[in-house]
Amino acid sequence: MATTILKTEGLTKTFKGFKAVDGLNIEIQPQMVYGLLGPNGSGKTTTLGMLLGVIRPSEGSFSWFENGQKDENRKRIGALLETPNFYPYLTAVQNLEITAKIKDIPNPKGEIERVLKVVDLFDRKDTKFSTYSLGMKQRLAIGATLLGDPELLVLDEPTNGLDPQGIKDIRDLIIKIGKEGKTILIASHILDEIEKVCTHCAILRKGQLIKTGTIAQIIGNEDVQLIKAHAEDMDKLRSFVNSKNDYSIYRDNEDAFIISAAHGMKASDFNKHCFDNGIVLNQLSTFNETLEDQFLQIVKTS
Amino acid sequence: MMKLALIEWMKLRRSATAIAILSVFAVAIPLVYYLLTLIAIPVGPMIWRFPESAFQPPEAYHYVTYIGSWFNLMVGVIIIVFTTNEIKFRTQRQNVIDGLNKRQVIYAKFLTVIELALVVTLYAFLISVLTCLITGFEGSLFDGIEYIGYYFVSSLGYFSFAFLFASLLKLPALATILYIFSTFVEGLASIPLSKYAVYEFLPLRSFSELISSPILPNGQTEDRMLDIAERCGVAGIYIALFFVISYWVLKRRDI
Repeated sequence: MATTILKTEGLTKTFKGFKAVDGLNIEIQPQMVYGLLGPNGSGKTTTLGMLLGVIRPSEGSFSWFENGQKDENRKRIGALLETPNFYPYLTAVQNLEITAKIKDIPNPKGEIERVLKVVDLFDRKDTKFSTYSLGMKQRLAIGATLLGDPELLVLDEPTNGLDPQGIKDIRDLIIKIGKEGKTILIASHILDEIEKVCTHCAILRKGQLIKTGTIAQIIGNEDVQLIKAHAEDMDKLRSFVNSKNDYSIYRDNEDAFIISAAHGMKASDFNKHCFDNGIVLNQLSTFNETLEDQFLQIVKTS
Repeated sequence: MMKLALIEWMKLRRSATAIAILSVFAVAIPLVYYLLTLIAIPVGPMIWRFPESAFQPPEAYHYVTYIGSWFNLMVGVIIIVFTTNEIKFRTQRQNVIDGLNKRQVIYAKFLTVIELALVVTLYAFLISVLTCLITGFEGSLFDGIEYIGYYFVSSLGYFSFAFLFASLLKLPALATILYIFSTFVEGLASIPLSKYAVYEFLPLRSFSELISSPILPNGQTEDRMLDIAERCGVAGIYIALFFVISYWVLKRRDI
């Protein structure tokens, strides 16, 4: 079996009594594009900071590549945390030379050229970092993470501050890299981004892990039909749904149930089933929920 | 270790602050050296004039390093700017993310202090040797070279002092101001203390005392409690102390 990329156990960070990250357990396998989703202040950056050695965990542990918390591990990771951090008085090439030196990358010259071409900065390679636009800075930071073709990319809000074209370019780039089979851990508060880019996802709120799974599991599989239904006798409806394998109550709203139906089941089938079992529905509709709704729902209720 | 030193050198040699200050330093030493030949200074009852021997070993080493030590305070500002910039630009953080550990990041800054001290010492050595070669000399060229060694320790002292301020204060402007200000404070404090032996144990004094003033009335020698080896020892203890405090401060901080 392939080496687990990352495993955390009860990872916790307390800032003066406030738990920024609370007992986090996640596991990342090779070739996952893993999204860490949560609103601002949910502990995403703190989590990554601990994993990347700049914040000391208060409790718990993590292990990269089944190799513990060794500093050496980070040379196998290309990481962007919060903001692009470079020496403003150095050019793109000079900055990347330092990164390459730290990571002990063989043939730095060729590698630097390669990544600058990937992020489309080759034309500006000899201009100082301080003259770059925000988008270019962000692209250089992503370029730096690609240096030496690391086993894992860690990207914290990679499209932060970019214009729509820049956002699209970066997303396309991440999708492309992900398709090449690279493992990526990406933190974002933008749902759309996670949905478009990731295969797996963990949702954080106030430092706690709320949900984790594949994007399909979390966001609702396309194969699964969501049905909003209301009956005269809600208790009867509940026991009926619970007794059938084909249906389950996805969400228990006060005014109606949101019911998920197995593959191939339509709302009309559900209606018929109910009727056959003596339940009269007075409201029935298919239910389409955006990720946005889901996310807000998850974050609000838990 | 070599890798860390190399990385720091890659950062340092392109820093505008470092280039500007070192340029001033590079010009100032020979300039002041030359200007001294033009003036007469009253020292006590005598008038001091620049002796011919100041361009020959061993005096040349003494003069050049003495002049150099005036400018060490200025060169120390490079260390402050350089160290605080790493915090401001968050590049220190990125270095850790990229695979260094915190201890290596701190060691790298120690190495910068040593690198810079080597640069100024080497320059002082070159100027001294060139002067001797140009003006001609009798005896050994390297007579008096011990001053180059004292100068290295003295530079290390000033720069580690600057490093301490940078580590403690994080803000470049504040650190620079307090660093310069502290020399005045020590200067003022040393006036009432000058009667006592403790005076030679003040940190900045211990660095500057490594190279005593060559400008003395004929025949007069400076009256000191500590000999040169002991002075080196005192300076060495301070340097070690500054490094240990800086290390302790940086180690405890989240970056």
